[in-house]
Amino acid sequence: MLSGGGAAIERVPDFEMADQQTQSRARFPGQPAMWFFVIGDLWIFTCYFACYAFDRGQHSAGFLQGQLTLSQGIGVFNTILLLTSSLLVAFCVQAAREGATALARRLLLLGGGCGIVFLLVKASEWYLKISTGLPEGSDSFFVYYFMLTGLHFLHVCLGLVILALVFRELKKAGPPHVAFVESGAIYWHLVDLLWIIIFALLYLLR
Amino acid sequence: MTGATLASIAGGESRKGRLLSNPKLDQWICFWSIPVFYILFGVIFVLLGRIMPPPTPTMSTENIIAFMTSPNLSLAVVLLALSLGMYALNSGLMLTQMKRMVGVSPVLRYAYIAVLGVGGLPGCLFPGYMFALGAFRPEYDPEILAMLYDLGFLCFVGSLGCFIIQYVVFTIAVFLDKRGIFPKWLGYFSIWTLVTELVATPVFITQTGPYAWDGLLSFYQGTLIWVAWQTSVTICLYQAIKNQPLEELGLPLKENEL
Amino acid sequence: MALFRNSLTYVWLFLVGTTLVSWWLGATTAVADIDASALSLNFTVTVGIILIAVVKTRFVIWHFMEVRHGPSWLRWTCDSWLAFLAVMVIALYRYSM
Repeated sequence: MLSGGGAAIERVPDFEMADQQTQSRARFPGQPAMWFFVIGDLWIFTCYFACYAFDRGQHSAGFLQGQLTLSQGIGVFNTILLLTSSLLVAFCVQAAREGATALARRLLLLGGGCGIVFLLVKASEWYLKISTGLPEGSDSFFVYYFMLTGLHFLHVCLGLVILALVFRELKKAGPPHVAFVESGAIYWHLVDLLWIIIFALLYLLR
Repeated sequence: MTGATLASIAGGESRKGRLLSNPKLDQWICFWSIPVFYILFGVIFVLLGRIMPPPTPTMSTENIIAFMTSPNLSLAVVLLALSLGMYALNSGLMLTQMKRMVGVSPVLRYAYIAVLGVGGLPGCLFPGYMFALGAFRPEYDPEILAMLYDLGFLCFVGSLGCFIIQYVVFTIAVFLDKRGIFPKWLGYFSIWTLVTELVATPVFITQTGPYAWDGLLSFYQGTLIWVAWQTSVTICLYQAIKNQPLEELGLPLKENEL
Repeated sequence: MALFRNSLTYVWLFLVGTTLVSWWLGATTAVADIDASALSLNFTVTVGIILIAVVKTRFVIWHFMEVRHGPSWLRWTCDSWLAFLAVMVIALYRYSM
């Protein structure tokens, strides 16, 4: 992730390559180490989703009852928040490629801001859930609810740290290390896509 | 001894017979203690103790008594008490290599060592001692044995949280390190290990299903990822020792390294 | 600004639209008002919601993560993971019903 050492050498050719290869189609997005992480993380979450899908059918009454107490509106709001955040970060990558680092920094701040709002909404949702008490017989649903949203929460926190490092990169003088900016953005989109699935499974499924 | 002969010995050209003069001998001894430790670990927890994979939390009282009073289990506990300290060699070696990192605060490696010292107690020794009680006094009330059984496994699987800071500091150190002592993907790998260990926290409130102490998520997934992580770290550690330049050890450089 | 008149904006509009559609599909509020126990497993709705989520995920991977420009192994890895996820979740849900 933080291959700062290689950055100085790679910077110039990398930046030129980004321009040349957008037309020629086969351009590797980000750094390979980030994809190693993304693909592994997707498989780990796949295990959770599999267990959830199975347990849900086994204890359907408790799951549906637990699900009823969730506010779907908050879930939709959070989904749109993360989608918007992803869009802003994707724009940020485009701006960084064009060398417009000031604009890229502003877009990144807005994207990260959406992430912080997401965390606040999530935390208040947890607070309300715990303070109002959980309905009888829905324990197994809420184990999954807190587990999946909690792990996702951690991913968002880590994502904010990564976005901060990208911000630092964009603040340096000279053209930014585009592959590094892309890697940070790829992580942020991973957070978004995991939430899309978690939202469908926890809030919407019937 | 002149610089030239020392360098040729260190380079490995005249490996036979001069093993003792190898300047990395201390590190290699510690390194080869790692596989020995994990083989013992397997013998203790899998073959003798039958602690891994764990039996179910809903086991009948007769089976719990059979498990707790098994003579193999007490043998496993004795072996565990004797050999757990070997882990310190591994930790010392990690500290030696983490010390070579550039741009990483020393706080991280001290935290790494400290947390390993804490985590091994609830994770290995406490459950061992609880299980040992069954063989020590088989006439204990079955209810007491059942409680020790629960307590032992909750310590064993539920202690995973003690290692979380280990993965956090290791990840940060790997990412911040400008020298690339360990590859960056190992940092990402540590994040998975961290995530899968966090998932073991509901063992304290569940008896069946994937979150119980014998569950797919609490035990199997976490253990699988941990074994893969431990293997990767060991391989990377091997590379790190191998690539460590001799000048760092206060020895003259080989000609091809100049 | 030229940046915002860009294909990613349409991708975002599509993602928000499908989010709202899946909300409409899986809405529990109307049912809950009448009787909580009237809510039961519904395979058709579930398949619809999972497929919408998978399509949304594909759009994020393809356009935001820029895998569509990536090498073919990466495209295949992402697509086969997504196909596996959809089939597995639907199959496990159906099997355990």
